[in-house]
Amino acid sequence: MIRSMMRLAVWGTASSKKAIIETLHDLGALHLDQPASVPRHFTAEADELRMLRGKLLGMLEILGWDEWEALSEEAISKTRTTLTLPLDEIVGEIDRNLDQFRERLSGFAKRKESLRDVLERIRNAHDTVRYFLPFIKEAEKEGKGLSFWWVDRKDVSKYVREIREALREDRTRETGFSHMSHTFRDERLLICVSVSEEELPVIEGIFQNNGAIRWRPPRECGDQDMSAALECIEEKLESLPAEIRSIDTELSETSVEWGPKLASLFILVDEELEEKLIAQRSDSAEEYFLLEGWIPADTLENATRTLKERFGASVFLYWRYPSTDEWHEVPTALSNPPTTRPYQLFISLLRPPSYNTFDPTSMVALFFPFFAGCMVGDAGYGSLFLALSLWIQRKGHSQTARDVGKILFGVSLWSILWGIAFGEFFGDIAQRLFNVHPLWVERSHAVLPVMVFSVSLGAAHVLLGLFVGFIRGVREKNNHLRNEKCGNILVLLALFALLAGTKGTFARVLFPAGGAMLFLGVVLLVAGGGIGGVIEGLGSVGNILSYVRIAAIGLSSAILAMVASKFVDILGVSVFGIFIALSIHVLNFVLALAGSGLHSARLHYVEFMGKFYEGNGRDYVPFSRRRRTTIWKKQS
Amino acid sequence: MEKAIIAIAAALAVGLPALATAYAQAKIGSAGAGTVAEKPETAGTMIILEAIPETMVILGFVVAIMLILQFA
Repeated sequence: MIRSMMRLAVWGTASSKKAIIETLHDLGALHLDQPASVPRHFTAEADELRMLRGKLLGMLEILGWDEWEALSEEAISKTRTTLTLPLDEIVGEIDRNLDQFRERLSGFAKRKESLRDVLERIRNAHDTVRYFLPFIKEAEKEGKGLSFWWVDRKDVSKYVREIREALREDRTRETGFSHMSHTFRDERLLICVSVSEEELPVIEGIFQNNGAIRWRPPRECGDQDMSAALECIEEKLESLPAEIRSIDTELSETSVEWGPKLASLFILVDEELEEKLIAQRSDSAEEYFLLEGWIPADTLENATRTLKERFGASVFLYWRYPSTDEWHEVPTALSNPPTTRPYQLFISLLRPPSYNTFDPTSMVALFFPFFAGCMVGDAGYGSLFLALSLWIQRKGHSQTARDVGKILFGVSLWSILWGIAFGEFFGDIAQRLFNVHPLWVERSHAVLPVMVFSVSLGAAHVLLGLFVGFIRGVREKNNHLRNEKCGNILVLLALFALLAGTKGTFARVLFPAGGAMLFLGVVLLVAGGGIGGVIEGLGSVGNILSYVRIAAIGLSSAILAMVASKFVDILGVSVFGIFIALSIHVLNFVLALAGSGLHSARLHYVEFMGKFYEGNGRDYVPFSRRRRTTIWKKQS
Repeated sequence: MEKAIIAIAAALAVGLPALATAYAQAKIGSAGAGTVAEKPETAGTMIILEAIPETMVILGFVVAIMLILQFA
């Protein structure tokens, strides 16, 4: 249901402004509603706080800390108590400390980045020279010089020829020229030549003159012979990951120690900033200030009592109910009992309903699991849903996850009940093993009865939606809406009467009554919505037919489960047969989980809520201490 | 022969709307993903828009079942 709201105006003396705003912040119930014409002020103080908040968030990102959900109120309170001076006085101090801390963190991050770069180069060098290892060892054993060059593949023979010719001219010494080359995946070719130390400059000159590129070991292992460089590379390959791990450990320990502290500080700065902005935006004179907003009627008494007790004559409060003209401005706060509250999730995906209209949460809570369970219609899958829902409710970290778990719980119960009605337990396993028969019908054989039942469900659901729309029209004194919905209901009832009138004993009564209702219904539809109203009426018939998906999806799920069992029949009770059957059951389970939820949601969003729901409301955003990371991150 | 023709008719009754639905959902889905990335609050509307073309294939399924039950 939609909570009743009151307009609350808070006048206070300028001297107690900060304390009153802090109290309102603590109360967390007032949706502040400042006129749009009030400009947003940017004072140096607010900018400092914004800067501080940004730094804190930046440091949390460097630390890789993201445990907002686990941040306890105690940690925040502890940080609050350590800040004995007013926050604006210690902003500078915090800022200086943060700068030092940030430098240290940045140092870690830079060092880690640089080590990663070096490791990458060392790995590349190792990959490059490992092919030449035997050749290098042989050359060094013979005391020869080594030189590596990147060359074009087609030029290798040319280089070798030139080198041989150059060495042949110098017959005074034994050159012992030999070479080895390797082509890498990217078609580059690395050639390694070994020759006596004296002749090495001659060979290098040939490569240089032809535009070849020299390969050298990374500078961390350079300036030494190739064998030593290789040893160095292998040593670095072992030591660098250990160094990176040690930085990671240090960062992780720092994150565990400092993350909650910095996050608490971030929250406190964020709250302080919010209070400052509210104070700046309030309608202020020299001696007093005014804050106005909307507050749920059920929290009004507590709020007014608290303010009066704390501030006595320094605060003046005035409250009233919203006038009809103001309904479009009033924020919508939903309040539902714990059993149906999880289903507010479906409404939260839309814009909220307008104030003083209808909150469909309770109806969604009633019909959503019923429809989804009917689509699944298998006690075996229902039991798995039940286990999954209990697990999600126990392990779910966020409220949304726990809500999803509760919704799944409802779906699982209805799946089991419908499974008993259809006699399905992982398809026809219960029938095969225990000769269990359906309480109602077997879906895979009695297609038509299930389809007729689905459409009947749809008719009832759509009529209910239209009825809610009609009530809304009456309450809002909206004649067009009222006539249109009433006409639509009459047209649908007339069609059912005419359909029933074609057969049966009441044909003589139903046929003329149906004709009269159809005429009246069309007149009301035209009166309410013109030609659009008539089209809407036809659309309602399509909406009702759309519920046949309950039978269609259920039928496909039932047949797929039976196909799984058939595989065991065909392949026998073998590992392969059971594997195939299990795979199909897993596929069917996932399809049932996703399909039943999505289609049931669609039936509510399009067919049911489309008849009365208008998401023209405003979100209720109370001025409260924020404790959810999504809100912080959005605003940061 | 007659049964084969009925089976083909039923298959076409489901298959053709299925192709049309797939095409429409692909277009709506890609546009919807972009919209939700920009404005997460439109997720509900996008689910509705994404689900609308499914009615074609559901009605095709009804026609197919009718064909089979009536004539096969």
